[in-house]
Amino acid sequence: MVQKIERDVNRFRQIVRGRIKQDLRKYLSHGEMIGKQGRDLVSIPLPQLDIPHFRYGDKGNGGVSSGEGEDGQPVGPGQQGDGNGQAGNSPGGHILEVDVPLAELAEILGEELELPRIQPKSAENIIVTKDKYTGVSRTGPDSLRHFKRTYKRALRRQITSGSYSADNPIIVPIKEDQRYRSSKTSEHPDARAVVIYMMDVSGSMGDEQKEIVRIESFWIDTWLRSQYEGIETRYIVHDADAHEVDEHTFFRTRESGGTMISSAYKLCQQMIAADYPTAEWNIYALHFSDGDNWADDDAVCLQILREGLLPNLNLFGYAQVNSPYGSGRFLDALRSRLSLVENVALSEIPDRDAILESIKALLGKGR
Amino acid sequence: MSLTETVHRLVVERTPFHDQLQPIVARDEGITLRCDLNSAESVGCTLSQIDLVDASKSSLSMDELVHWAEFICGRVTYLLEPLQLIELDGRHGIALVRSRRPQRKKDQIAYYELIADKNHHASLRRYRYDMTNRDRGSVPFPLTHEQLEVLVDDLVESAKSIHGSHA
Repeated sequence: MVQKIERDVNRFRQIVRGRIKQDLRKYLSHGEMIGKQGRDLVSIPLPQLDIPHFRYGDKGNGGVSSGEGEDGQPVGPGQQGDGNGQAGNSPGGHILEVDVPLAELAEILGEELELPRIQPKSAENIIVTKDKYTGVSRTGPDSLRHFKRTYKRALRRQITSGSYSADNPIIVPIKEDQRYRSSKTSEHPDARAVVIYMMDVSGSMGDEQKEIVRIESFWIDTWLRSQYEGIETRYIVHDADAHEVDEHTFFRTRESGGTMISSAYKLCQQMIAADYPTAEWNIYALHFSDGDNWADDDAVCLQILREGLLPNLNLFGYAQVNSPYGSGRFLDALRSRLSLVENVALSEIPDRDAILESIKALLGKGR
Repeated sequence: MSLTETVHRLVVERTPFHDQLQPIVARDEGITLRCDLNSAESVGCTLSQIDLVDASKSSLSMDELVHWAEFICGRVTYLLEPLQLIELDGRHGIALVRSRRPQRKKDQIAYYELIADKNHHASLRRYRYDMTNRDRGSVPFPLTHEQLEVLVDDLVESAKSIHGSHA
């Protein structure tokens, strides 16, 4: 039977969920909530949310009280003090922070953007076995001895045989009392996935552009994690040269070099060849840049994409962020050559408000 | 006659003219300066491009290229926006200098772009990016005659300030 408090909690979660959906665009375009990300939860500030509370009727105003004081003694505010505090000059806020599981956030994102669920390409190819300790057996190694069960068996035997003394409660297990944890092996198909994020960190990519990339990749990551268990992520930054970095460096590094997008694609190709057999892995390569590529490099990029990357990828996503100088031409080069390719998704992000549409463009193919 | 004086004389000789491209080329001590003028009148002129090549030297190192680009950014402070070094391409030996704060009006962004390369070639243009059709094109930029003289002076001085290996 569902208890009333559980119903209330569910109701509260529905309200929170509704509010997040309502303001999803705002949450998508503001990065502050990402900074509050825990391992599995994200703290989301929800203003003006009416949280459930008790309401008293008129009859609740009177009643009998206890404590010091005589009958008829007035109960009211005390004497005014001579404090010198000053009133604040900003409006009071009623911000409630709610912890929302990342999985639920991904679900909301999927519903709101009508994202199709991803069909992993290799689920049936790989069968993984998992051992789970679910039972108890009479034999096993000492390292798996179930102390509590063993103790109970010994106690029961001593009580039934009359050798147990309440005054001297010493329990000595014998061999027949020993119980061990036993595992059960199960087999299930496994879909392994890796996302390779690539970002242009050349001089023309400013802080605002990187922030947009950070926000967008957080949401893409959240969605992909909800679709695959234990997804791997790799990060590549590039200007004229590319190198692999960790997540922290990915979003904070800045180089002064020119833009040579092909350097990142080459490294991505090497990474896949070295670590991710394409028959077993669902591979996503997502690239963010302002598109200000050196002109003669576009052709090299297209060649690497066509011959090296696209045949091995579930999805290649390219999102072009507008820089203070406008938008580069690389997106046009890709659009003119690759827009009809099934596993290519292209989008443009003029500003933060366009993040939502960009995510939909990148993930809307359900690959 | 210095390059600045030559350029000034050539502009004055052609003034006034409107809406026609008139290239002016001046040479002195191995340095060639070319201005593509679009119009000129008594107060000033509009240029679509100004180019400088120092043929007396070649092969700047990256450090020298940076020094050159930064020298120009530090000296050329009288344009519509100050300049800053944006990118350095070591592979091609190119420094990209642009307006620090591009001018934004409605759907258009305008900024200066100066490309300096290791072969002692610097080229200054002004670009306008149109956000509606996502197109970038070069546009003429105005300078008074005095500004043009100072700009030519500064570019020539910047070229002379860097060493490079003699050709």
